[in-house]
Amino acid sequence: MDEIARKRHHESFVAGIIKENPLFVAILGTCPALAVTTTLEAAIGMGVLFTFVLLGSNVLISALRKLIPEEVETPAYIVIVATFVTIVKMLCEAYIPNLYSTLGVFLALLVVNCIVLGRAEAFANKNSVYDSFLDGIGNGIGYTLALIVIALIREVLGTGMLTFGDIFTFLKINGESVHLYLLKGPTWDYSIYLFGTPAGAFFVFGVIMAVLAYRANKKKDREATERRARAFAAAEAAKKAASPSTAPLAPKGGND
Amino acid sequence: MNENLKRYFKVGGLLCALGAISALLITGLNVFTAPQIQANQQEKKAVGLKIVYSETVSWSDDVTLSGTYLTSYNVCYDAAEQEIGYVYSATGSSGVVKTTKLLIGVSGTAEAPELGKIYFITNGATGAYGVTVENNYVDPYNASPSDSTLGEVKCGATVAASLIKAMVEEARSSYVASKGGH
Amino acid sequence: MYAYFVSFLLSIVTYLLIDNVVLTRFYGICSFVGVGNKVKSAFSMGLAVVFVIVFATLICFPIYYYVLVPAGLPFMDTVVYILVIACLVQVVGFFIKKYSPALYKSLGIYLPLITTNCAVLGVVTENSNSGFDFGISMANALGTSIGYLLMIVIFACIRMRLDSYSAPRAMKGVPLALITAGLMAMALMGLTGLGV
Repeated sequence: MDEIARKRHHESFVAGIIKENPLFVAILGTCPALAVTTTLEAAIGMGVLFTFVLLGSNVLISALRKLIPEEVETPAYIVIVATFVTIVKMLCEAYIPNLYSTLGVFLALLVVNCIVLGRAEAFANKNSVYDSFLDGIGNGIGYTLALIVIALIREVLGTGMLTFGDIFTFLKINGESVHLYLLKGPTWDYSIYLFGTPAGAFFVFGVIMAVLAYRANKKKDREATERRARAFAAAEAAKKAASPSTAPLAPKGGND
Repeated sequence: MNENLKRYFKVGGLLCALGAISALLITGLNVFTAPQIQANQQEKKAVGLKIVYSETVSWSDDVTLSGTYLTSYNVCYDAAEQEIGYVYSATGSSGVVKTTKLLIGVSGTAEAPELGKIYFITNGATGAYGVTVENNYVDPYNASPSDSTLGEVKCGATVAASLIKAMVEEARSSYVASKGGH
Repeated sequence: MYAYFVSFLLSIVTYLLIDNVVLTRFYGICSFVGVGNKVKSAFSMGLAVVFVIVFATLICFPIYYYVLVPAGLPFMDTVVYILVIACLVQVVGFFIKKYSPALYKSLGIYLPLITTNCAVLGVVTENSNSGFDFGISMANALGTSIGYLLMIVIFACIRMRLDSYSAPRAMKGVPLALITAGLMAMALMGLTGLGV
């Protein structure tokens, strides 16, 4: 029993990261994913704050799930999530002000993030606190990874360099932000400005979804072929078992 | 009816309790974070003061004003405790331009006030307009602050530039008034 | 007075086209991508969003400036706004169900989904964060919601045409829709040169 429970915990944790990634598989929470991914630091910051909000709301809703009756589920969840978002917003404004001014409205928009409300209604109000906690961490990590992927592509291709230190000021060296020049040099510049603009965000997201769809299709095709091959082999074996004296099929062209 | 009423009370009470707890939590947190936010703003202002007048070493406390845009001013002193000029803080929004906070330097005498640089604490023009107003209006003005560079508001972000111009002119007239002119 | 009216109109144009809600500011993308290729339901959802955003701004603006700020509680705005919006969506749904059941049925699940539409909360929060006065807040609301309606209808029409063409298998559906949205956003980029 313990082994099964541990496997279930483990599965609900890992599922949120890759297999049921909230952004790339369920296509939820796309608004911040396109808006804050212009720089890598903003994406990491948004992912971390999102994980806090998701964890807090999952745990609290799961802890209160026996107390809140069915009819008032939605307003109660909304109040809980809004409280956590306001707390995170105020802490961010006080201690990481650069992140607060970069994220702008999108910090408040975490309240209506489909992932937070979706996880609350689909998972947290039916499972224990520990399961909800794992689910929250899994989904949070998955979302952060997805944001990082998009932001890496957009920042490297769009500005030609990675900048560290603008938002997380403890990363500054000698008071200056660290730049990692990749597509840019002192006299040459191969960055494509389009990727920093909103149009580029859509393109990057669309191409990533297409690549994932391609891999999913290939996997589906391979599984379908295997299944057909197995069914064919099973049919052959059944035919051979039914009439063992039948000669193997000869090519029909010999008679013409 | 009694059964229903009891249920309504229970549900309503639960919601009210939830709301009250959340309000208390948030208000309590505000007591802790508000001073830190104030400190952040003062730090940003200190950086701005040093950019507007580069010889600034110390400055006075905020002197509150009342005006359309002006909120307060600080007197800047250099290393020899001499007054360099006044730096006005202005806040305002206009049309599509969101709340813009500026630091404006004015120095000189009442008869001949000299305009100083502008420093953005918050640029209210969003997106491309923010970049445009900085590159086409504020940077040329900061290179040589004068009435002629102040007057060229048609720069591709006219609403934002007109707002900044109005703030600077109000700062100048307030300086003249406080130095005894008219 | 005249200058204010001109500023009001310019603000509507700005929020409708130049700073478009879906393609530039990135609010409301979940429903934008999920609307599919049904033009009629896209139009009815856009109309519902127009109602909700306009009424939400009408209600939340006085609440912020005449209740929260004088009480010294500007930080409670998120909680209050989202509760107001949730109630408003319920009320709007109730009225639509009563006066036009056909519209209610065509909206289906999209009506309660307007509560989680980033555009509604985004517009209301922007208005209070940016210190707009009442006229410009309404311009923001009108421009944003009509821009949303416009973009969602155009997008549904384009997707209806796209579905009848053969696309590479990996691009079918959501990836192609996103790239189409990217092309629409690129078209709007040309408007940022308007010297407003």
